[in-house]
Amino acid sequence: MNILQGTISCITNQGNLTLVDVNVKGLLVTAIMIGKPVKVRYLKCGEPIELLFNESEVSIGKENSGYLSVLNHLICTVEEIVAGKIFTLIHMLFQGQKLVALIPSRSVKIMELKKGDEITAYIKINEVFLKEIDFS
Amino acid sequence: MQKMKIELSIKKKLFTATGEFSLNAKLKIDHGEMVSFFGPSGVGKTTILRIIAGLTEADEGYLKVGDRLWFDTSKRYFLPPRKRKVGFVFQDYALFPNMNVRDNIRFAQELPDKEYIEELIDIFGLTVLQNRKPSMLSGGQRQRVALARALARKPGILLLDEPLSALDHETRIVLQDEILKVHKRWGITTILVSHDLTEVFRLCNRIIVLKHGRIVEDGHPNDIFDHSKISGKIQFIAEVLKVEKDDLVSVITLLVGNSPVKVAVCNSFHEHYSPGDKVLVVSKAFNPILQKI
Repeated sequence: MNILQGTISCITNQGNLTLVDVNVKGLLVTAIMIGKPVKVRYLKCGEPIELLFNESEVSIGKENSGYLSVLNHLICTVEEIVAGKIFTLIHMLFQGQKLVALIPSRSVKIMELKKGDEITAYIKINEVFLKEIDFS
Repeated sequence: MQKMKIELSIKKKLFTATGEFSLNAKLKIDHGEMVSFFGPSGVGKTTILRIIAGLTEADEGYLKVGDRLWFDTSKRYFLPPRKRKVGFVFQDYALFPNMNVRDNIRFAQELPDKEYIEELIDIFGLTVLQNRKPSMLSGGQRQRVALARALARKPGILLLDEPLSALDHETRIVLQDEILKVHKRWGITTILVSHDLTEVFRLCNRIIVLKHGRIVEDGHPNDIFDHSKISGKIQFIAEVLKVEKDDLVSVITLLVGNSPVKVAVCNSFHEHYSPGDKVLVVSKAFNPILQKI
């Protein structure tokens, strides 16, 4: 599970769908959730929040150009590659923060990924969970 | 049956294995409502039911049911349990072992009403079983009798204290349907104590959450559980049965209700799971696959 901490900067609501923009070290990371802001305690602009997304929900891009419909792009550096037969874990750093992606080993080969590479981690808005920060 | 509304305000000191704490509850339940009391063990849910039934006394407070005062410590007034129109179903049935089904139900009646007994026996599917003694009945059948017996008094309030906890999953579902059917038919004000969230969601549209002897939440189950900390809407409690490592993921067999389910978990941050662990499973509700059956 990947965890990023940030501050809610903007909330866009349409009925039961709420789009939440979170400022994470100057970058906007967006999540969509089912729920109405008025009914969810932690959904307020300026509030600190945690963003959670699974390793398997991170896609990796290298030397990409052009457009992609995925809203969340995090520029990272590859720290370590742990290869399995089917899956490979890509350990990377995003502005000093550790993140992990689980991608097919086949892709690693095709992309010729190696330690030190600059890559982009892509996460779809519907794959990001929001979590209230527990200060207790 | 007369529909009763409940107005309660009580204080009571409770003594548990972990120490002493005070129960302090104030609530209003409208006639015909089916409300759930939810919260951890020992928080006072059963005590409140017992105070309503008159089986336990509050240290301080009052209880008004319908237009009638059932107790008021400031006035030193206490209506004895046998004069309160309450139907109570406990987790452990408590049927009379030497009486058959029919007699168990009949015994609970204040005034004999044969037609009503027939109706109850019919509604709860007890026709074939009516001459059997409790020892010849399954857990689910016994609990049906307990429910019929609670209704035999034509109560104004029905108190259900974990009535289905001792039953297996399939039987629970069937009995939940019966409780719903009965509530639809007679609309008796009902309080259900249950730790099974699925059951609470199915049966009640109002949940009162208790913690440390106090009411901390009161509302529709959907609204209460929107307050949970993680935004994923598909959430359930499961128990870890087995952990197997395959390639770079752990395949964990979880017990969800009565069914084992295998999930793949990426354990890159070295979370450890062991058989017996209780886990909260959270999944996004965004666009799951729904299939009509």
